Amino acid sequence: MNGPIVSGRDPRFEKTLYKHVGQPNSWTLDYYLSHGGYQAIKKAIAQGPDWVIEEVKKSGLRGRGGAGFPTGLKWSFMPKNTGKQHYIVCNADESEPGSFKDRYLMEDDPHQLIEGMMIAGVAIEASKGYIYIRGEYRRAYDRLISAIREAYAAGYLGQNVMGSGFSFDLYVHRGAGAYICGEETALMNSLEGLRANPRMKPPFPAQAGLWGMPTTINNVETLCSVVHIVERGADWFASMGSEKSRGHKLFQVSGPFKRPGVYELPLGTTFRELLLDWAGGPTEPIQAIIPGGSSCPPLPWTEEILDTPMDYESISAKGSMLGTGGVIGIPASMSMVDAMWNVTRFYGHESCGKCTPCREGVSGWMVSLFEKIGTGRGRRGDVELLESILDQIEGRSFCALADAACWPVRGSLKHFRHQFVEAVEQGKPIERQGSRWG
Amino acid sequence: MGFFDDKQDWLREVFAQYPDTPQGRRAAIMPMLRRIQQEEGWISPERQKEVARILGITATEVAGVMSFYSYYQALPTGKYHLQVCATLPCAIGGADELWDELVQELGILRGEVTPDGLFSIQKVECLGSCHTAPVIQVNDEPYVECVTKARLKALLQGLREGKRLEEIVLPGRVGHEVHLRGEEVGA
Amino acid sequence: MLKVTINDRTVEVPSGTSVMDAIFHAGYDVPLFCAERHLSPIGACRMCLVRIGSPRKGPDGHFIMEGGQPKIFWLPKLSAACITAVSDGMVVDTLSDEVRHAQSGMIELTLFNHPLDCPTCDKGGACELQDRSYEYGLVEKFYQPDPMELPLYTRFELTRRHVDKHHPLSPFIVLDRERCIHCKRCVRYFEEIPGEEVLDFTERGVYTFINSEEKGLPSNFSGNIVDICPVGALLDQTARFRARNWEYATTATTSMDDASGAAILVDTRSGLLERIRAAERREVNEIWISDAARFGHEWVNENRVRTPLVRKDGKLVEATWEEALGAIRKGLEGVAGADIGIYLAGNSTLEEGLAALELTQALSTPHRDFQGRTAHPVGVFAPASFDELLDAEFVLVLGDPAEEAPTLHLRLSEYSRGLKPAAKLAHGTPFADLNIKERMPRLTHKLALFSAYPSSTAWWAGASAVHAPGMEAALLAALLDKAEAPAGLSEPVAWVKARLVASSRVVLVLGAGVLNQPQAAQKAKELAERIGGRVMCMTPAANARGLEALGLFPGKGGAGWSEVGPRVVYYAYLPSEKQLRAASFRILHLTHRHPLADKYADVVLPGQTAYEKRGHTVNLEGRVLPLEPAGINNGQADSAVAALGLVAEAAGVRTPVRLVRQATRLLVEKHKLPPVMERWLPKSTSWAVSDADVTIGSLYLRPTMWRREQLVGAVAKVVEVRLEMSPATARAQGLADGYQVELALPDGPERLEVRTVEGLPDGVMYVPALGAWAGRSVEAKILVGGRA
Repeated sequence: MNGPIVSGRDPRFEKTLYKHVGQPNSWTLDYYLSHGGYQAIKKAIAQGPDWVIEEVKKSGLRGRGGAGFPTGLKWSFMPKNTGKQHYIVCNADESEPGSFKDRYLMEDDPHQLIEGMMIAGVAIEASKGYIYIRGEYRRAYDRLISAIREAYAAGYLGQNVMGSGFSFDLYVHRGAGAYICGEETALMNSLEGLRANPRMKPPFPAQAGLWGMPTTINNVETLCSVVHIVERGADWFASMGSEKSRGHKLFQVSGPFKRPGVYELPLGTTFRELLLDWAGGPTEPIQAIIPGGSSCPPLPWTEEILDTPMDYESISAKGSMLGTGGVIGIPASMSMVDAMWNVTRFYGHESCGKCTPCREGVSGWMVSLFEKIGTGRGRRGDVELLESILDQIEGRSFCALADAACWPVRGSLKHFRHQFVEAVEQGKPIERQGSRWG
Repeated sequence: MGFFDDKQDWLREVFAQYPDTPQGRRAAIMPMLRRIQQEEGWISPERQKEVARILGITATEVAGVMSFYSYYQALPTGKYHLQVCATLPCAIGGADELWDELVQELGILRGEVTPDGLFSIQKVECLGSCHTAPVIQVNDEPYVECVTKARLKALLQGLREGKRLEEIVLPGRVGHEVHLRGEEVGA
Repeated sequence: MLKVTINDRTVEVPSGTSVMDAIFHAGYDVPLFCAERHLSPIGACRMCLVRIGSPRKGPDGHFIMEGGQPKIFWLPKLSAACITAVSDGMVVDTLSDEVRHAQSGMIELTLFNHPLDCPTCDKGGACELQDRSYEYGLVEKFYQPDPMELPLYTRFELTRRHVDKHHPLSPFIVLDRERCIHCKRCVRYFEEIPGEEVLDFTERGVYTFINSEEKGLPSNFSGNIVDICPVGALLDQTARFRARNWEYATTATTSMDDASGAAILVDTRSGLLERIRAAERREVNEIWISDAARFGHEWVNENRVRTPLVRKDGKLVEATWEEALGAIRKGLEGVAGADIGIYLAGNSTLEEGLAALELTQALSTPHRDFQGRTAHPVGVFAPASFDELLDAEFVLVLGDPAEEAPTLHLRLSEYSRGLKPAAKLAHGTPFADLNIKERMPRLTHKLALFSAYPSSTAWWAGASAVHAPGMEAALLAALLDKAEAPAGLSEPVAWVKARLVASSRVVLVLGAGVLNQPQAAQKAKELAERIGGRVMCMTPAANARGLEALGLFPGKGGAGWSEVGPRVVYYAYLPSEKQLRAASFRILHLTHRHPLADKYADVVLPGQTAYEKRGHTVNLEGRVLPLEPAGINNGQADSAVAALGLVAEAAGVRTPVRLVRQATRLLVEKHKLPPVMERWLPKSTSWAVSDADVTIGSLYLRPTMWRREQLVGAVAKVVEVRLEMSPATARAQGLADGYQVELALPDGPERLEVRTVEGLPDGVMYVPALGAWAGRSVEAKILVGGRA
């Protein structure tokens, strides 16, 4: 076969990120070494930072945490030879509803992440790294700590790693339940022991990040991908996916499907392949899918959408985003108003409270308005009111959380407006059809 | 008796993870608060003052950081603090009904503790286990997933009997699920 | 300088200026809540959203043109003007519909949970939220599309959040959590200015509220948050419900509570002093004042002497000024001029000082002085200005600025963050100075501090120590390499010596402790000359520099303010009972009645508080500052100029000073007094200093920002007056926590409670000076001691 790899059924496609996830003792150093681990870091140290950054740039890797910023470019923002302490920070705060891919990377293949962070450390001249892991991921934390201990004992971490002259110290910092800490500047404030409000940019983290030092923050999946890019080459990575969306991706499926879970597939795989083939198809009629975590506008369950390739440009063209690749199926038996009420409550609860539009708009007005409509007290004009509030919040806030709260509601109003209008006109509390709990 | 009086070695290890400056030392606040939360079930005003004293910051600062997060509790919790995920994928899995059942069964609301001191409940946001919805986290333990009616009943029963969480046998699923080989998930 | 175009005007601003300040500089407006002068800009309130664009260069290096002009590429989203720095050629739009829509939306969202308290809120009429709502809120286009329809006043029909209202943070400040619009000015103020993080947000999202875990908001600079809170969330408890803002008569004057010369606004209503606020004086106090200057005013209205009083049949009775003149004339019969002593208060104006000087010269008496004059003159030290302070590389402090010169403490906070004086733009002080950031680290290598009592200014010092009172001379000798460092101080002394060598611009700050010990002060002068540094003298008397420069100190053989005076005395304050008893005829010029005055005074003249005086003062920078009288009903009170004019007439001498304005003119003509805000640096006059008058006792009167007369009302609830000592000292004295003792103080005996404090030097007892005796050590004489 020729051409880019855009299907998990393509015989050329080989799992790398989740290759060992699910295998017995996959998280131990012995397992990692016996499966060819800690070779890529040797190569990276030998080739040096410039080569590593070039290779990652060539691969086309984009940040896998949801923002999709080109990773090589981000690394190239770091200053060189400053004499200051540089930091590589892993954003393991995975809190986007519908996302759970990073969790198993850390639970079942922590050494892969450790190696990825070290390679990043070579690239950006960072001799210290922090993994900011969400506090709830207890097993992932235990496995990471155990793996780090093993790595130190065997000389893969610490001073003079494997006799190479490169030193790297790695620490794990646990969060405590705040979605906003997934925002990179809020993450830094949280790590420093402050209230986790986001910071102004400029200055950018590469100029002044953790404790004012040059810092780069990357997602777990991004850092793990780097290991395989270094090992197998940028061309291998770029052979998957499309021109603007290269490489493989961990997709998640949740909602009423036969086989919800995490699926490692090339970018460009269609929704159809992921949801009907790999995930076994719906267990009840589905009206909409959220393609990449709750911040993404829902898309209707249509043939056209199912045939859409899952990559940044194609989903964007349909009016939504790839995000984290966490697909949530919304059953037809649940009102979209109900689903959006739930999602809005999420953002309201997670708003940090710094800026007016998010605090009063999302956490205040949107939540109250949904409660009003959802409990059957909606009045004529409430849908228009909701839309006008969205206009005042989106694009006006300090960070993207408020935008992320607006996008799904806008998307729902675009495709499912009639449900909102009905809820308001009928003035009845939203009912769930039948029990959802088994 | 200060909480950290007999944990000086642990404190030293924690501080060693961060820069040795006043700003750097402040990063230890989250691990310190977590340890208190884990061992005492809540973080009392006295403990907050102790943390402030050790870090050289004000009690107001400690309260400000502590109250920002969902995990740190300002009121006492039960021996088993049940955190129920309420976000969309779990709601689709029935989390709202699960919550109502818990409220009914235990007879408490958020912020309260059952008379036997065993249980308190809290709705939390997406725990990151959407494919095994609905999900409950007990204290700081790995998740209890696919919490069906039957599994919830067995969970509460086991906890009431004083069993450790890992010992409790829950009907249905075994182990965590990663569905790469076409395995069905089910209750 | 960068070119920026705001709407239709192009201006030039320095690089690094925020777009917000460029907008104001151009004469346009943008609403703001979270930005504040001298605080870090944070972009939280989103009121200042504007549309920003810039021209772009194409691949050929030239601007991409459109219609003969460089094409403006507008940013896709509106930007917060306060946290965006200008770039060359930037174009800013503040007037388009998009911007106005955003402004009205942000106002609507800010008002979302804000209670409809205006009718009962003390901020009404002076509220930034009211003003911005009126200016930017109900934009017709968005809220009244059809002119024939009723305007849509609100789209809000839900329940607002309910939280604590009138929560007393301290006896000075009351917090209404519902009114808070979360601008974070108060939180940032505490961290950035006094460096005391006693206030912070709690919880997150819409549930966020302001909270303090430190009971009573323990900060001597807490009051400034009442000024900067844009709404009625943080309010002055001492002025609660006293008046509506538009009912106040406001007078801008200078605070005489310390020698800093901070500018204040005095609010009066119906002749009563109700409230004091800070006024902006960029060069001196910026926009801040201490709690003593702000809340220490409740004593002014009560118990005033409103008319002259003369003694008839052994009792003081109300009289007219003419009757007082007669009584004084009678009292001066047969008294030589040289037997008369004139003693002014330390916060007297230059005009009053001149009146005293001219009178004593006319009387040929050497007995003249002002209360609180230090043992060593301050005029011999070349004064540093606050701007010079910010420019210094190193500052050495011997004293406690937080108590002795509160404005200096706050300027040192600015200094220790490495900030320079703010640029002056067309609108004055920048509102969003991008040089100021949240949580800037303190550059502790720039400051060293030694004090006889723990000072909070020491938090910012790279080296600091608390030493026993009286050690200042030995300490300075060590710094001059003339002696070994005193025990326990060798490390900080060595550090300071190294810093002095490494720094070229040094400022020396001397407290009352040094200035009251001539030996120490002499050494300080030597040190200042050696390092080429200027000096700030934190004198207990507010106008010490000015009165000293006029020559208001004893002549040869004259009695000073702290000694027993001659036969006939005029005091413009209440002296000690000992001094009253020693005289035979006493003229007391007082603001308030007092039992001692009732007992001893022969004539009482009604006096003015500093808030009621017209005239000039000189602060510790040597800067001339004005005083304007506030509209306080003080009966027939008058200044010392009038009172001394009366005394002159009674004594039968002529002085050229009988009216305040006359005195001012004379100051300008004869003493070359420069205009207000300029520095007055006359050739220093001073007196022969003798070591003999200084005794180092074991009771140290430590300087405090509070004065005795202020201890009423809310101040009495906040300020604790205790006899403090180390636990070892207490044990040695047979005392313990809670014991009540009666102590002999210079002004008279006083009952005090003992409190032990760790870290104080052994063998010393401390009591707040609360006035003129600050920085002096006296013999500790416990008259009555025992259990509580």
